[in-house]
Amino acid sequence: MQIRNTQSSLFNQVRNGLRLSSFQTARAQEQIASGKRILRPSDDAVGTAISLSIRRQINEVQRMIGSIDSGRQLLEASTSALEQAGTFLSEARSNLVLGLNGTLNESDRRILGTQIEQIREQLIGISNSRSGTTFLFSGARTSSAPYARGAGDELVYQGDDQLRRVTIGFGVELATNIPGSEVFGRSDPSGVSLTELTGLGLGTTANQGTGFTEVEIRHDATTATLGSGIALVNGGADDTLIGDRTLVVDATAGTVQLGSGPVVELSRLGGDVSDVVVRDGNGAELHLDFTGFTGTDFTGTVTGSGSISVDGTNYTPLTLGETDLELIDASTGNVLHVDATGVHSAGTELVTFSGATDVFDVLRAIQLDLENAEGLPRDEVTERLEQRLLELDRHHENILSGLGSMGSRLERLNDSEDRLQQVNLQLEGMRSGIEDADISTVVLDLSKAEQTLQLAQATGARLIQNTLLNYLG
Amino acid sequence: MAGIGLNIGLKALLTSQSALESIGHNVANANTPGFSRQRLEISSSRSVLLRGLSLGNGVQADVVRRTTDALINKRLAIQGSARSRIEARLDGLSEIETLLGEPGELGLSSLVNKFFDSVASLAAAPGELVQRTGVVESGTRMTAQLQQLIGSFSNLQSNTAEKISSQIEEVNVLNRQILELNKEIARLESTNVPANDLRDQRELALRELGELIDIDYYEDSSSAVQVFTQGRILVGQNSYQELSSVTTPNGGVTIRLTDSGQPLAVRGGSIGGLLNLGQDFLPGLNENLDLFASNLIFEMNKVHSTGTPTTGGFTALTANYSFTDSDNDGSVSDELVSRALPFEVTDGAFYVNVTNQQTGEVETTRIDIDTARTTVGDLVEALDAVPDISAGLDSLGRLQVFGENGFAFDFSRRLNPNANLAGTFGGGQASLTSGPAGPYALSDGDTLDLTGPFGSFSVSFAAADFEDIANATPEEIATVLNNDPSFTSNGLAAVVSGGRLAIQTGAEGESQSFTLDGGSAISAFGWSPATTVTGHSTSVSVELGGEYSGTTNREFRFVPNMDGTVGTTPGLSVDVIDDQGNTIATLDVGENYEPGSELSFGVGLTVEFGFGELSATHNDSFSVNALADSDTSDVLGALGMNALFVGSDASDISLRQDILDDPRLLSASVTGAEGDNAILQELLAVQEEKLEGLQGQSLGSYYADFVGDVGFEVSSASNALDIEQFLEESLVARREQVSGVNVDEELVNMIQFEQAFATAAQFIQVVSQTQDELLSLI
Repeated sequence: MQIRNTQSSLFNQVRNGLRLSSFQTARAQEQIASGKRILRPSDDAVGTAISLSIRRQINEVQRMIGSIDSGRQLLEASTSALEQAGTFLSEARSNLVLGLNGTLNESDRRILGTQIEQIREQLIGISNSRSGTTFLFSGARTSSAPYARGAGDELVYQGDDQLRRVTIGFGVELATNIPGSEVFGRSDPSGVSLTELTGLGLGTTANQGTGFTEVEIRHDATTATLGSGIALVNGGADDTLIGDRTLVVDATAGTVQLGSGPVVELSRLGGDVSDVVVRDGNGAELHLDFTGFTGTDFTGTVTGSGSISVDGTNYTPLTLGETDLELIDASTGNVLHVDATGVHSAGTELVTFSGATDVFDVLRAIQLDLENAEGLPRDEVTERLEQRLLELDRHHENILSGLGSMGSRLERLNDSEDRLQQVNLQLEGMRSGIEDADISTVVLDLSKAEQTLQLAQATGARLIQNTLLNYLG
Repeated sequence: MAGIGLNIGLKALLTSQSALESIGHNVANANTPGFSRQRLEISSSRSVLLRGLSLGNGVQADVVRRTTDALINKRLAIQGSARSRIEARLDGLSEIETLLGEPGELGLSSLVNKFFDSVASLAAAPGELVQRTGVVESGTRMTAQLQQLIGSFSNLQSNTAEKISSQIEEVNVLNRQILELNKEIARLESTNVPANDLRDQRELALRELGELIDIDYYEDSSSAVQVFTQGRILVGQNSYQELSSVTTPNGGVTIRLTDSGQPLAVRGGSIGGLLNLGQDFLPGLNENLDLFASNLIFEMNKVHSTGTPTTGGFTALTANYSFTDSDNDGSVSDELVSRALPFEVTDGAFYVNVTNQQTGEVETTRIDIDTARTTVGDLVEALDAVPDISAGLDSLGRLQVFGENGFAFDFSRRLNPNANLAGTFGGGQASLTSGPAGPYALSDGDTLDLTGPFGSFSVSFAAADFEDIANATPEEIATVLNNDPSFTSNGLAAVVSGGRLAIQTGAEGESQSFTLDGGSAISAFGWSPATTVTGHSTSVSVELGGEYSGTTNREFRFVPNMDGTVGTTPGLSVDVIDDQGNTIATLDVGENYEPGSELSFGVGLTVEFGFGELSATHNDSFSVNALADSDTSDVLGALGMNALFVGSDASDISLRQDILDDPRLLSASVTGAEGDNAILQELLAVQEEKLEGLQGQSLGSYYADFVGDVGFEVSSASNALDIEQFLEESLVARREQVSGVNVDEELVNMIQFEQAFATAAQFIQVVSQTQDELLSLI
């Protein structure tokens, strides 16, 4: 077919050609300037939907990486706090072991006590440590200090047992805290122990309580029908004897013996026999006045009676036959069942509800024992300290296991972060592959478009110049 | 001969002149739109018989004709219609695409991501107020963007409607113009003169009309065109139809034939494109965006409603959504809860925890929702019956709940650590619990005979006190007992624990006791006559801990296997029984148990029993709710109780005002503790959760698809436009080929006729010279 070209179609063609090539140039230019292949959804509808999904996933991964960062801060802060706490407890332990050493005198032990007090204060500081405004060891109650001083110098846990979790992977959560109740005051009741200095035993029924408490067995009276001019001193007020003992006075040998206790030779007392202390095999004391001793043998039964109290205010008369006496301390809620059959002397029994103390109470108790303000006998202090040592070791172990779990959690965090970074890298790669312009291709496109444009301009110029008029004279 | 010769010369001169004039006309109109090249048709004049010869009588100009192809012109008008439809749509679509601003930092998807990012940052540091403010701010930006988007869409829709009505005016103008041209052409051509330029004008007008609406036309015998659209005549020989458009307030547009008032479904042309955009595409877009927003609102609210803010439980809460009075009887109480709210309620239950702010004791109550039965009145009544809170409807028909003085409430799934509040499990008070759970089959006049500290008495049950005495609920029985003067004066109280009735002394201790002598009702409760119950000096303390790891809500009941003392009696154990009646654990609390130590019974939970005595004989037991979801009915979310978002679609979505005012009210936690982020973690999960309301898509992927769809529409419209434009251009080129003016060609023609003209002049001169020569002879 013969093509009949007309003026307007010629011009239209040139116009269209120029428009198209300049559009292509502008498009390539736009891609280069923004670095993006998709500038609006219509550039690649499917790509846009995919890229939005990938962006969402990237956000999610970055959120997790953010959580890991903040979690790591908390875990690291907790770790260093627990490390310090562990160091302090080791120090406290060596002080305690030193205190058990018989060669130390009273003032040395008092110094050790003061050191324990300082350790306790420092430990309180550690337990209340923060990261930013967040208390590390108060469970989910992050804005209140976990330990506050209650009545006396006792510390009360103000936090809760909640674990604060952050998401560190798809469907993976990790706790970033360890509640103070787990490391400083883990309650894991394992029974009750007594120092058994008075011969008090545990009853048949179970017990319940926390921390340390004391059971006081008070000596109320001594009853005895004494002969041979022997009398009780002060009506027996200073005695500690509880129960029946046989008193044997051998006038020939000049000796006195209470039960199976050591034989006291009267002649060795230096003449003053107004207050002769005889002890039975358990160390229960009986004070006797031999001033009016008639010099005849005497064998008789001496009976000490007493009362028992767990709270220091309510005393129950002690019946020695009682095998399961219930003692309730209304103020603490402690319930104790004791066997009184073996009680032989008055005194204070230290009751340890094993596994149910917090570390601050243990330290405080150690301090008080070392200072020994009550002037307890040496062996009793030792007995008590040994009990405390077990509890201290238990707390040390709790802190170490807390440290262990912190360590393994940090490791998990690092693993997760590595994995997430890798996922992030992959996703970024995918996103970039979809969204970003491949610069080399685009540059190539651009130069192609430019070339086309120039060609179109050149040919257009030629075309529109061509008219017959040019050649007509 | 001279006469003929001069005449031939003259005619040749005139014809060449005419031809030159029409060439001039063509050249002058070379760029006139719609102009068709004209050509002078010439023929040789009839010959004359002279001197026995049939002599040619020269040339004659017959007629000036357009060179045109009617078929191409018609196809152009139709093609223009298709092209301009797509063009109009693409204009609007591109605007929508620009409004979306995707993919980029300012688009909604990025703002949604940022909102969830800020929730995640808060989850990492839930105690930080600044992070809470961050959530509130990014939430506000997100909701503002949603509102703005939907606002721009509706602007676009009303712009479209305006454009349509102004284009309808253009259609009317063109119709009138075509009618007038019809008339003129007919008049002119009745005299056998082709109306070349008028026809060009009419063709142009038809093309313009085709660009506005889809048309079809044909020319009748009287040279008039009849124009149709959708089978209806627009322009006839003598008249044309006016069109008019009506815009409804919600942006709907109807086009009618003004005279008959009949609606006209315009499909093509720019009006067709605009109608498709404004009536089909934009409403669909709005609907999708609203669906996105309403799902976001509901899903987030479902989670948030079961949370507790840092400020602790609530003392007063008002629902966000009013109940609707569908039957218009002036009262909403008779409406089904499932039908009276803007969101879907399902069969299930929700739980209310009421905390005594002094003691910290918590009481959890379960409220069941049956979509086919529970009315608004039932719901209000059930909530109002929960101890220490009151419920009602406000003047707008919204649910309101208030805590009584000293009591706060929440709807969280938190574990009640002391579920044995009633003391029905080794409590200090003398306590006798029923064996089976309610309801109980009593009959009218049944009695319970009891002896308390002040003597014996009998309580009788009357049918009037029960909804159905054969199915007496433990709550109803407890009410009857607690209203009995002898019962209360003897210091007794009836409580319900784990769906069972329990009779207890008010005080604790070994001195407390009562005797169940007998009565006709005792068998229903599984009691034996002459049962004396005595209190204890120590009550068994119960403490639950841990986090429930199950995925469904369960109730666990703790029952001792025998009478005995915790930590002492050999063989004493406590069975943990779930709500299906299965024993999931048997906890040894006998001689080897250290009271107060933790026992795990699976499902992530632990329990500690304190020292004290348990009695299987007196049916000691207590129940604890282990909740995975404290609102399986979704009614709290549907009500907008403790909502995070208010509004019901994209146009009115926003964060709850008091959360904006005080970000601490953001309920981040289950327990109310500052460091508890459980609710935040759940809120985060909403973004990727597959939602039924979105046909199984997640919020994120739904929106991505939404954007993708717009992008797809734009790109396919733009491709289609390219094709239609190409088709149109090729038609234009073909029309140009036929009707266009090539100036070179005209130049050649001009020279040709110029030469003819010169030659004719020369011929006249020759003829005149021959005559002169003759005359000189005279």
